[in-house]
Amino acid sequence: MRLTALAPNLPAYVDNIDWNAMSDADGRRLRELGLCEGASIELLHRAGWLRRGAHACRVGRMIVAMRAAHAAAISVRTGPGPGSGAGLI
Amino acid sequence: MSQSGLIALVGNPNAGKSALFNALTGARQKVGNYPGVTVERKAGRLPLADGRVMDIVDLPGTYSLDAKSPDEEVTRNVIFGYQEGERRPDLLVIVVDAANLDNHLRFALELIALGIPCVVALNMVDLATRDGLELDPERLAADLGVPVIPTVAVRRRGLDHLRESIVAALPAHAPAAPVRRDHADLDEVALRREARRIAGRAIVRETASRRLTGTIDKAVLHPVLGPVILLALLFVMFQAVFSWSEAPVAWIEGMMAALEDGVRALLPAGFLRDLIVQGVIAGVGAVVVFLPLILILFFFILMLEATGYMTRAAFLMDGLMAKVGLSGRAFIPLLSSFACAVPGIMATRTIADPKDRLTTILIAPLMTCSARLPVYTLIIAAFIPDRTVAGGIGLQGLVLFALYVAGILGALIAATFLRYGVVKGGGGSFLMELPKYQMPLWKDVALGLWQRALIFLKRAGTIIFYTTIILWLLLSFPKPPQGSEVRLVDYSIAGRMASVLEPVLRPIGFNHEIALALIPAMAAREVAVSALATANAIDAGDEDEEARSLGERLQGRWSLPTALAFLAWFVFAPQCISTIAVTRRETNGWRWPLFMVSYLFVLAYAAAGITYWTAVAAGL
Repeated sequence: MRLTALAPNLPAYVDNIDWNAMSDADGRRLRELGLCEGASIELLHRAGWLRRGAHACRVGRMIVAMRAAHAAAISVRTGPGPGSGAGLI
Repeated sequence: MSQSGLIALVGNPNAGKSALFNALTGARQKVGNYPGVTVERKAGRLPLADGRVMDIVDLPGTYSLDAKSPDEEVTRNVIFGYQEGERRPDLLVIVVDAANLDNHLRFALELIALGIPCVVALNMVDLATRDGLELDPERLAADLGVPVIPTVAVRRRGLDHLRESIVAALPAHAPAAPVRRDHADLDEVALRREARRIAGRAIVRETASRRLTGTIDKAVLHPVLGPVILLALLFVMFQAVFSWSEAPVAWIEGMMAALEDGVRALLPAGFLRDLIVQGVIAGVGAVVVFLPLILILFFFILMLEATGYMTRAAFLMDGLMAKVGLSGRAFIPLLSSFACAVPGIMATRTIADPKDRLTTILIAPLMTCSARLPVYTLIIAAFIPDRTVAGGIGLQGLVLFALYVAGILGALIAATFLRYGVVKGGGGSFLMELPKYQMPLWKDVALGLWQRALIFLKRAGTIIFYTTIILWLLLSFPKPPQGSEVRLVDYSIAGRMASVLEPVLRPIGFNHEIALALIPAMAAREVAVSALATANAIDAGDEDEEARSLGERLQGRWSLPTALAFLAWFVFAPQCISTIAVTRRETNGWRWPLFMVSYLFVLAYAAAGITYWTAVAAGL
């Protein structure tokens, strides 16, 4: 499922990221913030209503804020994932 | 620039570099700019145990050496020795967040691979412990191949040990030749994997712990409660600016009055006494009394930054920013612009998209900067009754809040037009880390306030001092012929200049006195107050008249619609040479500053006119 559809506070991990849905610069910044396939992720907060506001997620031990458009490009699976902690590559 | 060795503090954003820099240098620091760019250069001196005194710079935070924004470019250029006016560092202090090791180690590995002598400061170990992490610094040092020193910068812990390690690692004590590390040729993915592996080995124990940040965020980032808290914080901030400053403003006014009496007693009546009393003390003094208000405002902004709340505010505001085509990141420079547009515009360097950045620069002057406070508070105190309205809220504070809101709304509307007009294209984006909450260190907040007070007083002692003296001279000469009924302020050079401008401003309710104040206020907004004070001091018939406050005198001469129009003018008018200069530097030319000045003056004229005509129609 997409990160935008993930229920808050549910442990999940990044299954796939559609890098074509964002600019190269944003893709690189996402990776620098620890978001990559296999990274553990948990949706913490959504700003505003209708899932259109910014999303705050725990990625490893860091909280990362991103717009709904970026969150929609991230596919996640619930569960602890193939590795514990942050991004596993 | 001194020829002693150079140490650079480098690391990810939110690793605590600035706190470590403050802890290492104390007040021995100098804030300036790198030549050719407006990226702030924070430098200081670091005495070491072996007698050497090193220069130390605090580099902008970045996630990698692959720079994305102007400030990240400076970090990369300094490290590689390409930055104009800066030597290549002799040693790097790589600051990593102990609670976020796997992420911060990726950049640390990239830096270590360069072969420059370095020491890793494993910072904020106390917060890592609070988060349930137990780390093994020695194992981490063995894996990284460089010394690792646990520190808590805000509590000044681990600093002696860090200084000792710096001495040991500096070229005089260790081989200077760059040593390529095993991971020097790893690609991005492999580097991340290596960072994770090393971080995993360094974590001895990981237990469940109280999550302070999560608990606070539940309220602060709540879709309903969050914006309410943000609005309440901003409201308290603006109320405090008025209510907390009453006593210190009265002290400064008392000091100025005593100074004036002292000068009157010391000097005989004449040119010099008039220059000092009517020019310097009335003019500069009228601005200096606002120092407490400005410091209260900066206190709140420093606290919001130091606690980690500022990025939460950006998170909450992103939806609104997106609607007007801006990056959510733009909220931080815009909030900083409440203190002063100059650092606000400089802070836009963290925005990667050039069009997002340009739009933010163009609307930053609409945020109500502290220089407007002297103007606003003078007029509000004189024309708005000091009483409470519903719920014990002060009416004066409420009007001030409304002026701030008017600036924000103006900025949002301007951004919308700019993004769909002259700055079309590019997509706003919002990707940022929300740091953990921290109790700010009062010493650092005090240091920040001290630096801001010095900047303000320096401004009062230079730009405001000189413009006030020039204005006093222009207002005092030539004298009208004896027996003439023409007032000196009308007959003088400044009075005649104002007469040329007055017909343009008369339709929006402005009088000759306002026209006169607006000319020198092009240098800085608060000069409008000193200009009014100087003109009134010259115009005062006797000492009793002179003793009346400026506000009382304006009350007698301005109508309420004129006063309100004057406030509306200053919500928009771009009267600040420093802002125009920094915009020119940031945009590499005159095109955008000229555009900014033009559109803001048009808005100022329209806003003042609409306010005046509406107030007159309402019978105020």
